[in-house]
Amino acid sequence: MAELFFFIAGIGAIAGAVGVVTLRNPFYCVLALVSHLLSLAALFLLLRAEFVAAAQVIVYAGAVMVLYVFVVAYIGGGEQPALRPPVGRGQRMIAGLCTLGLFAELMVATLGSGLKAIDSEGAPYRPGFGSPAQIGELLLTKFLLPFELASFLLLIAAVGAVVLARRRGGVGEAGDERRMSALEFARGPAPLGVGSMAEAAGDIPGGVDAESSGSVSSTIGERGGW
Amino acid sequence: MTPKAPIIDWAGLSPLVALLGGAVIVLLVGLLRPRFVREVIVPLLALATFATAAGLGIWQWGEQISLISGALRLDQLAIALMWIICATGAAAVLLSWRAVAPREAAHGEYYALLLTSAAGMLVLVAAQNLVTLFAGLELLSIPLYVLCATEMRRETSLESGLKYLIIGSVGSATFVYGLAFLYGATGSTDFAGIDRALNSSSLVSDPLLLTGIALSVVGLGFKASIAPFHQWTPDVYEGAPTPITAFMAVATKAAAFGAFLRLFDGALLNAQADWGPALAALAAITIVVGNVGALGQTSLKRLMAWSSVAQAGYLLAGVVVATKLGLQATVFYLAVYLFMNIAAFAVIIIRERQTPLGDDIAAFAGLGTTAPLPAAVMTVAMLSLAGIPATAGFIGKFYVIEAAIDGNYAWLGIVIVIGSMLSLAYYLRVVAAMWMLEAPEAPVSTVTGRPALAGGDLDAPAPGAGIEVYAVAAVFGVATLFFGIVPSPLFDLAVKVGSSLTSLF
Amino acid sequence: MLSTVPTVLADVRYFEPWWIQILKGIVIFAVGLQLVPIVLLAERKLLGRFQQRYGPNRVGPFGAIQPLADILKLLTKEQFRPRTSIGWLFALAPIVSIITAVAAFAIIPFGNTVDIFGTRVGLYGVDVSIGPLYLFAFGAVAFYGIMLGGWASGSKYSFLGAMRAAAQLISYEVSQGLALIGVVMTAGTLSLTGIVEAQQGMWYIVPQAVGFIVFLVASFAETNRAPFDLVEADAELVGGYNTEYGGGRFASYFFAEYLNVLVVSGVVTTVFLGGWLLPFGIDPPTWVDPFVVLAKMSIFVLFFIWVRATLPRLRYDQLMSLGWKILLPLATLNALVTAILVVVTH
Repeated sequence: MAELFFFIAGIGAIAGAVGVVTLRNPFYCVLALVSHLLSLAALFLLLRAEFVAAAQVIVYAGAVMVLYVFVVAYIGGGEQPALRPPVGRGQRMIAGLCTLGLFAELMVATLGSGLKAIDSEGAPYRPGFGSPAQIGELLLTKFLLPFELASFLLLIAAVGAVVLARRRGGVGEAGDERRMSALEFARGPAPLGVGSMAEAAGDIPGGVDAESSGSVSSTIGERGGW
Repeated sequence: MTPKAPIIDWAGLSPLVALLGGAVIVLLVGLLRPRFVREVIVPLLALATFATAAGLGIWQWGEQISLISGALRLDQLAIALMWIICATGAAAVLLSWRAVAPREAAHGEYYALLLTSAAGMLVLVAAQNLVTLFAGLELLSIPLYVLCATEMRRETSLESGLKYLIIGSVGSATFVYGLAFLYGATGSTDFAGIDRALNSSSLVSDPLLLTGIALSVVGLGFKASIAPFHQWTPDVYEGAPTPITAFMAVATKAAAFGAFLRLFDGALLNAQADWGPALAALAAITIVVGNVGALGQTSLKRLMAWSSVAQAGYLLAGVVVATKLGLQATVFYLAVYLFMNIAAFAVIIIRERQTPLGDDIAAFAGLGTTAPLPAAVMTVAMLSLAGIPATAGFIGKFYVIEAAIDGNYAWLGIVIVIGSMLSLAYYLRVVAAMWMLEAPEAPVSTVTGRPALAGGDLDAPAPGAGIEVYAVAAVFGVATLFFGIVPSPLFDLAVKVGSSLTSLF
Repeated sequence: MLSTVPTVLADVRYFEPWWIQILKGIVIFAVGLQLVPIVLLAERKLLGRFQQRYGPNRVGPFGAIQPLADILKLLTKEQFRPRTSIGWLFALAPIVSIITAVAAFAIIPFGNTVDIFGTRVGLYGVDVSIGPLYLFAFGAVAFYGIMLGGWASGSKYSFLGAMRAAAQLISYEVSQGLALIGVVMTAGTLSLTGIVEAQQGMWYIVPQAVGFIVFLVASFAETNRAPFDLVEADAELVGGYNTEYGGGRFASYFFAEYLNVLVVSGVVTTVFLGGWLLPFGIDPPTWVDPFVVLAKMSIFVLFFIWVRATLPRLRYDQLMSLGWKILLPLATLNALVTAILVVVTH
């Protein structure tokens, strides 16, 4: 019974991976990746690593891929023509040969070691393996430092993303961001053009009467969109 | 039954904690409103953090400490490389004091990213576990991806950040694939465990292990700009803001070669018959490719990029031989590489801020007559990079060639010599431009060269570089000369470092 | 060698026979199918009363057969799809929604393990060792049902609704998880039956009040219920992701939505309100347990309906602010304080 599920999940994983690389429509590529990840989660379940399976679905298929779907759905467009890099045939042939070489090497490594072990029972199963308790213990004892570093990495990646993506002023505002008063900080600045009460009353620019809608949208556009 | 928490040796961890804590403090201080705080206090805090980390390294010098269940090892190698990284970081802070990049990305974030990258480098060179190795690699790379793209109004900067991100991610992915194979072959993620598993001779030719080694070499090769994984280096170095280029050129190499030393001369030492010839071949190719690629360059940053590829080849020779002498030679060369490169980049920045020609070699024409002191520093740097005697670069190359010959890789030593001969062609071209060409007409004195109406910086600093850039150029230029004439302090340091990887002989 | 598909019954050292598992699957689906029309009717009647009108009262006594009429009408309608839609995705999306809703329903414990004619059976679908993570996993996949429905419809309103759903769901997912971490730390186990057992002395709504509020608010967002229902905002988006859906597929989507409400009510009951435990130490016979759980669940279902009738819809930026700037720090603080207290009182 377990073998049946293994083959289903394995075929799903490989099909998903192949689909990501070969499909033309980027949205289908993303969906293929999602199905690949779900098949991987099923493979993890077959290995009794429940926590990793759940984490895979929650984090990877459920958050990272959501962002992919988000972006691809907005700007993915329809079918894309296959990418043709501007290199000559000789270089493409060498690239193909190198790929075959790498594939052969990987096959030798994985199949070689797998076939050697095909008659054995595999790694022994220790009760408690893959449970959240055991993973938590490892993360807090043996792998404490990488765990903490990973959290710092998340922080600094968020900082970096904000640096790259935040609104920048137009001409003449180079580097002097709008500094806000403490009250505004406490209340929280609302983006312009959403129709808040302050805008309607004319306290802040952006209402319908204050300027023509064209200039409001142009201000938003100047500032880099949403 | 609650498991026991690992023992945390705070004294040993203190350099890392200093760097990371400094990053957080700098990030928070950068939120304050007054401009003085953001533009002066924040860089000063960054400098203080680097100084603190280096000082804590001095305090911890001499002991070999294993930290947090064997994840890190703070020994002389890690501390020496940390000093190199901190010196580079401090120089980068000074070089970017008045640059455009920290103003585009807010000061707090910019310096916090720099400090975090340095912390990641420290983790990478001190790692004793495959997982820690990868965590350090990512921690060092991701801030650099962002930092390369910080001059956001310049398209080449964004392009360089994007290219570095994509290619760096490919390298990281390949690296972790190789690490997975290494774990599969040896059954342990600890370097000590891998070393023990490789003691049995049957494992040494295991295809899983060989594939793991191959993929790890590829992954680290991306980081260290080893041919044929160097393709990203010229574009990224040229596009990035020059202080960041300087930081990348020195510190990333130091970190990557620290990782090479840890992984290959430490964990995989018993498999040297496997990876030795391959790495040696890669080193030879790198030297040739790097030197040949630099020959036709007119942009000085691209020229420095190709030259750094060639220098990576020289450094790899020290790793390949897997002897104590090789380790000493690599660390010594990294130290002198720091001095030469920072001096050269400082002069490039000086000229970048004085002329609208950017980093083109035409900006250096006639520098010998108009500004002899920066020209002198640049000359010393170029000659040192080429390996002319009386400069530190010569001693470094000598050391590396000696290690190569001593480690039965005499042919590699010959390749290094040939490479150095080739490199004279482009290094001397810069020197010739400075001293033998006519100076152009009076230089245009805007920093960006754009009129204010088209978005040029209205309140840009006074044209020309500030005193801090001159100071960096002077200090590192003098250091290059000094250690070329009196190399013994660095020699002693290298010898002490050589005793840290205990399995080498 | 791995034997059958591992039935991960946390802490319970027995395996249920395969026919019990199949039976349970059918029972869970049937129970869900039966509860949804009741919730539907309750919602329409209560909304009517809140809005000072009678709800549906034509079909059957006091409108009791209204849901049946609704479902019959929907099922017999023509199945159309727009020309610009992508056929197979359009048909697949409601199926994904239903599958994840029913699968999440399987985790709610209606009682402890009992002896039915000699076989030990747990009054729940499955008691996984990862507990609430199972719920979040299926919640994450449920998003794809909405997303695919919105995108595959090929119309702008649907697409916008789906995008809003995406942003909303990922914003509130983290707070939901963090709120539950406090409970998990206090109970010391991830298994849902274990969490219920650990509430023998005091239901967790008392020590974990902050977590309760955070989880409740986040659940409103995760199920796309008012006041977080700008995904299907009638006034703005005509219907959001289900604009182009009609007939049976529309019924599927709404079946899934109400089932999600039931699931969330069930989880809140289990985790914060003591599951099948009665206050004051009353110990009823085991067959009363499912009814206790159902009664507590219905309190929350009624609360969901009450909130829908009362609160206005949140604007997009207000929703984002609430999720990231208020709920997430609150949930993190809750987890931190709980962790400190658990360590200190250990």
